[in-house]
Amino acid sequence: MKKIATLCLMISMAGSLAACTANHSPSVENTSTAPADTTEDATSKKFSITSIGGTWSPLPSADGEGLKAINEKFNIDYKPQFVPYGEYSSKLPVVMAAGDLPDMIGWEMVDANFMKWVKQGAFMPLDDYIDEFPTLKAVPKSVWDAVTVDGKIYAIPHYSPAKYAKKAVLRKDWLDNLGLKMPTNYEELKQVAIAFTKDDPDQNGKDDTYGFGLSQDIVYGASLGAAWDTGWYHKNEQGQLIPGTISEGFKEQTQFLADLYKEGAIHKDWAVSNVIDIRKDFYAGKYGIWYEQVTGLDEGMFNALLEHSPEAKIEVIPAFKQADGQQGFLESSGYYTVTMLNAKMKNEPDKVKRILGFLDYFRTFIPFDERNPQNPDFDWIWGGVNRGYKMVNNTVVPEPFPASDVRPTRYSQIANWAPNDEANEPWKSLTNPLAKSYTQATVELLKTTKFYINPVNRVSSEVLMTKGTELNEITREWQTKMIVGEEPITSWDKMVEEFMNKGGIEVIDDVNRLLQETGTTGEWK
Amino acid sequence: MRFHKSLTERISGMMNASLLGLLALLMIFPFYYIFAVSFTSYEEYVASELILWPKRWVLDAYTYIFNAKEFIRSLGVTIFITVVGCLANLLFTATMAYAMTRNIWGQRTFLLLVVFTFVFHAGMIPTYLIVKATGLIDSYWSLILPNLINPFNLIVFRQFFLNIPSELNEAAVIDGANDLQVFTKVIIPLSKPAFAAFGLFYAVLQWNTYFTAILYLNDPAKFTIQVILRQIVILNDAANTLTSAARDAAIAESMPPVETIGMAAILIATLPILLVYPFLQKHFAKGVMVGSVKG
Repeated sequence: MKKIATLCLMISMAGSLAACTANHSPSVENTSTAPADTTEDATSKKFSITSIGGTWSPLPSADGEGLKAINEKFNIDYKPQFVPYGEYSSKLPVVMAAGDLPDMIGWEMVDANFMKWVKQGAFMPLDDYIDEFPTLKAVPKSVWDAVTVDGKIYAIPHYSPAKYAKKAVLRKDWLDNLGLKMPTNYEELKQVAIAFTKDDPDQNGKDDTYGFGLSQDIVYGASLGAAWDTGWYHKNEQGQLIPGTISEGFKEQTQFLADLYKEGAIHKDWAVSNVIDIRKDFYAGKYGIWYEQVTGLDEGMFNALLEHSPEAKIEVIPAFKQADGQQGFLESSGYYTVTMLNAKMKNEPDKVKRILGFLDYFRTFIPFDERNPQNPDFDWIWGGVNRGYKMVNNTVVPEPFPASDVRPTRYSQIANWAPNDEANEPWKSLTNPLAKSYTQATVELLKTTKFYINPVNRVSSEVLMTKGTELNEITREWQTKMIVGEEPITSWDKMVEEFMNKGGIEVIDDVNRLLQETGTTGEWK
Repeated sequence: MRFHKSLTERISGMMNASLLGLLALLMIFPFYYIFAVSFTSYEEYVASELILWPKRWVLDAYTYIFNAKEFIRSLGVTIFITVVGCLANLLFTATMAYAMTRNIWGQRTFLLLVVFTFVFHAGMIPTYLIVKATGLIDSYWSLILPNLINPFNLIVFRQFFLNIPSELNEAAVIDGANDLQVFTKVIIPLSKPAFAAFGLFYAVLQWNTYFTAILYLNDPAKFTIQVILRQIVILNDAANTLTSAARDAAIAESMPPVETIGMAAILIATLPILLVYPFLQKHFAKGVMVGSVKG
């Protein structure tokens, strides 16, 4: 009996091995070697296009209708491959080393790997093509700067709102309950946080609230303006720009957090509390001040908050006035994820244009009010009404995974390039009244707020990219100790010294050299 | 005749029982928590600090998972590679380990090569190149063949075989058995505990196939349950902690699976392999060697 079983197993193994090898298609690996055919009409020729990229969403299937629709519309044979972001940073270097590079390559950000591959000549410069495509032309110079190496553009950045990074928000209803006004400096903020902790702001007669939500690794900190944030804003004695984490502004912020911790306005276990848990606790009514954004809100959280505190109101704390007279927030990089093109396509301008045309189409911004079945482009991109999405009360509701694969967007995974952040009108898609009013008010507030463009985002310093993470850990560890009182704030200089000795000097020198070479300065807008 | 247990014995027995009970509770609690949350509604999950017993039992999370054909298919893939992979692992490990116990030419060299892989690994990229050169990219066999034999398991297997009295072999040979017959008729029946133990190790290893699937498979339809599970759990993280941009990207395409779905997914992905343990339990304790040699 055992013999028979073993034999069967061996036969079945050999059989399926053969089947798998037979199915193995060589076209997946290398499709970019097709010679440029100049005699054929550039638009009628069908191109085979491969791509690889990371994704946060469930992986689209390899034979979805959305993919077929893309192939038809653009006359291409598109073979996208998506890898979960958690592992993508391990997979792409391996694929690169094995020489299997597809035509289009997605990456999360400009980092040391990106720089290495650019220097190795893996990607093609795109400067000559940009003016032909409206959504590429629309990218501001500050964002192009981020993907420019030695004067040449090597990647297409994808849109992400520059103004809508997380901002400190507070419970306005608690503020009103206690008869306090919106804080305008750290001293007032401290008083508010302490009152939120000790004066029963939710008026339930119990001592069950904390003023300020802080989580492990100081994820959001307490920066209420560019001067207190991580951006390169302050200058040292030599006139060089320095990272925010070692600046006087950050010291003030750390002092503020240490004071709150002493007063019990920050949970004593914050240094081991996961950011998800603190966030959940904020929406369960335990914290008065926390961080929230305006795009991609989780309405479930707002629903939960309104359920137990129907009076709840959330407002962004406006930026504090700085000592230098400025007042505003730090702008984020303005892009999220980049797409590079394989350098092998250098001599295939028709194929490059087809790819860029494909990207341009998906990047084209559709205003919120036109996101409906009457707009043919929108309807196509979303897989057709009642197939890829439904209209409920004039709002688009995507059909959930896995029916989602009829939507071509599943295979492009590219954001619209909005002409400006306000054009997103994020509140329009929300149904929770609190989320809606909070979002609309925040967009209005940020519209008139000044923003500081972080100059370090505009240069590609390899020294910073390799050492940045380690240096951040050094300052974070020191600051955590200072907040919990293990180290006095007067140790700040010791922290800076360690930062400098472990590579900080090289980083500051290199960044400032690049800033000077490219004529980049920190500017307000 | 029965002796009464002394007081100290009784006290130490009670202490042992309570200590072990507490430890067991510590192990079981996370599973129970996952179980409870997976049946809780999202609103209740957000509002409560710790869920021990859902106020209202809902099946939303399970409905979501079982409607996603990817999840069910990946479960099938994982079961396939676990069963086939584990059998292949055992077959090749045991046969090679057995050969390593025979006094044959080159035995020591091969053993040295096996031990060599203990210390030195080829690394991710060279291994990928081999998998690619052998045409295994995007094939299930890329998950099974590169790890066919675990050197550590092989050495332990060999040691186990060496402990079987050689007289048994000789007796079988005198009865006219050839090498294969000795292996299948004498060695395997005597090595059931080893097969059970390593079968379990290999099965758990195969069940947890994750990184190699990401590395060697391109077609998402072939992904294992762990990849899909991680997707669901990561998506939760993305929805909660990542920058607004990553979060936008994550939810732009589909409804974000919430924590409760993550918990349900963990439960479904863990239960099958957990159920294997009780069936193999008895083999661990059994000493089959007792009484095999008389004299």
